[in-house]
Amino acid sequence: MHLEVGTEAFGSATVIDVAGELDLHTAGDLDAALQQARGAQTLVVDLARVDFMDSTGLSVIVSAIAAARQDGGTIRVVTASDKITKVFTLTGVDQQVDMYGSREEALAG
Amino acid sequence: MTTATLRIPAQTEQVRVARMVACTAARRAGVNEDDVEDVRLAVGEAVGRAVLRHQAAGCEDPVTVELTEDAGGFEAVIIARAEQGDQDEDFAYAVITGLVSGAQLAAEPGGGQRLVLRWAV
Repeated sequence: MHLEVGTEAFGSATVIDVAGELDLHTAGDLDAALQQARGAQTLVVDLARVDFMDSTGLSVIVSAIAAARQDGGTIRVVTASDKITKVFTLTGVDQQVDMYGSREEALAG
Repeated sequence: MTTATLRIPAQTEQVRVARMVACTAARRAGVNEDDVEDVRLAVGEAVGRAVLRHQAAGCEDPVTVELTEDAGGFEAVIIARAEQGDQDEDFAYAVITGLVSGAQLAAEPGGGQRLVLRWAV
């Protein structure tokens, strides 16, 4: 397995910490974590330790954004490298979600 | 001109192998490091799309990836033997076309599609 996904609570926020390669083969692991965290008022998806992400990983996050909106919650995404941010910008998803450069910034909102 | 041909089983875990080999070939061809990241992502998207098409169609043929180094640059050709089914490929295409200007999609003789991605050196 080349992806690690962990869930942590920070006050009223839930952080999904993702590390490794988020792709067609591993996106289901993130999807499962996001499904488990559904209902959180504030959900931070921390991709700072993700080395690679493709559009299937992005699709999982987009589904979570839609679910959060439906539930009245908020999703914030952390990216720390241009190559991960690029996947959001190329697809226009950066316009649909609040993006931050660090977990601390995302938690502060 | 040097061409390496990969034939990978249509399994999601194999997409990573294609990405790694494409990056190695691109570096060998002289593609700069920023563009090598684009090769990694674009080839991964294209191979992933092909794998999903094969799986959806029950096609047991391997996905073919041809990596060519020539005087003008580096080219990756990804051949899917199955047509698009119900899969949503919008994000994958947005990424590929955003990374590779002039990406060419054509019908493959005998069925399927070939996607040609090229980077100048």
